[in-house]
Amino acid sequence: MKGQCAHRKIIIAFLSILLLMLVPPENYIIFIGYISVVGIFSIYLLPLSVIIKRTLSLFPFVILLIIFLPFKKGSIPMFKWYNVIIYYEGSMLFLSILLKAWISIMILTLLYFSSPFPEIIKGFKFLGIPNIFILLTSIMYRYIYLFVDLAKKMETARKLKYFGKNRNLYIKMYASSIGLLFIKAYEKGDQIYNAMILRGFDGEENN
Amino acid sequence: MEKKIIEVKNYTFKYPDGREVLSNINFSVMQKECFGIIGANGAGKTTLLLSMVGILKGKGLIKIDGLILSEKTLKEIRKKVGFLFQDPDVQLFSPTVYEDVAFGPINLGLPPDIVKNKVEHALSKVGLSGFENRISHHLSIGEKRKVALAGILSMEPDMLLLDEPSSGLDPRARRELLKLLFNLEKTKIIATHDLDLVNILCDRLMILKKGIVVWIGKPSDILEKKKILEEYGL
Repeated sequence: MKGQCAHRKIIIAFLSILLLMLVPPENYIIFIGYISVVGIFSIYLLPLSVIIKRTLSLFPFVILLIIFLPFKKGSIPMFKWYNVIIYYEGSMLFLSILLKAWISIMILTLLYFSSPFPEIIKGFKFLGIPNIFILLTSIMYRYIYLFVDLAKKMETARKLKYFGKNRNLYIKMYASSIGLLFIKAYEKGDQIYNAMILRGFDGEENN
Repeated sequence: MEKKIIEVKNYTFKYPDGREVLSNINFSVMQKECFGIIGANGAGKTTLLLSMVGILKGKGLIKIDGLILSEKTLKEIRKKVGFLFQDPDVQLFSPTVYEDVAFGPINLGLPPDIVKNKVEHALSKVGLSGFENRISHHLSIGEKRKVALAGILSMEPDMLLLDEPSSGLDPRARRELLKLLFNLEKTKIIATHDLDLVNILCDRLMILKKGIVVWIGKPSDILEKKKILEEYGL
């Protein structure tokens, strides 16, 4: 099989993320350095709007995980409003985790856009990543497109059926299509597993 | 066509809710025969095919190339039988065509050079030589179905079970698939709605209606009888 192997890029990306995780919360200079280097590379590869859209799309999930940090962690009050206190240490930690998550996503986006996916998979194989992990990553990558496509079709169908201004109905339709997407994902997963076992897959690693 | 290679005797399948999908199915398929299973939607065609490879388990006897289908013989039977799913997206789970087609031979434990030969041979058989590095989800549905078929052929099974092989194909892709299947000298069981396809490919036909075998015979004996076909939901 022809094609390049992205093992060097994978090593650099993961080492960068690992080092980033070790940076103490208040070392802004290092963060700025990271953002500058990764930012320059990203802009070189992609339009700025795409980078912002892709990297910020995961922010809600990160924020959801760390939202209470500024209220819980620390001893030096930064802001007080009745019983609600925002602490300095917690806020710094919140900010640093947010920045670390953003830079990590930028690094992974950079890796993804600088190498075709088969090259990344080859890189994983070269680095001796277990086959089961590679298989799961491949399947996830492959089926994300299918489910995005399905979700788009459902969205179109929903729009075509929704005429009025009944917001409750729209929310109900939206909720049912999310449920339906889960059911379809389950069914598809079942069928894929059947297709795999019919081609000799038994859950064991094969080289 | 000498010996019986597939035998199904008194096979019944019920879903856990008690709904009977297949009822007392009896038929046999000879070696190198092309056997068609037709029936309306929900007649039980796919259920029957999935039962023949042990994905679904009902009551009765299923014998493949002398082996009675059971937990013990499942692995051996699955090596002998290639299964083409109706939806090719289900069968293509690797990023590239090469890896997809190589999936079966790798699982059979074959060495890399033999895997490579088998992949190249299978791809050339379906007319997709040079597609090795193509990304599976960027292919047309006709190409996807051919890659799925190559993925089965690379395992060199003795028989093929094909579930709606022509569904969703444009006329050209359908013609190509038909030609491809026609030239495959293997035992084939084809479950389909495509009456033209069974007329061209199949030596014998079985009609299923609501899980019951209502007719078995030569395609030419039934396909002209439009009224009877309509009665069976076709």
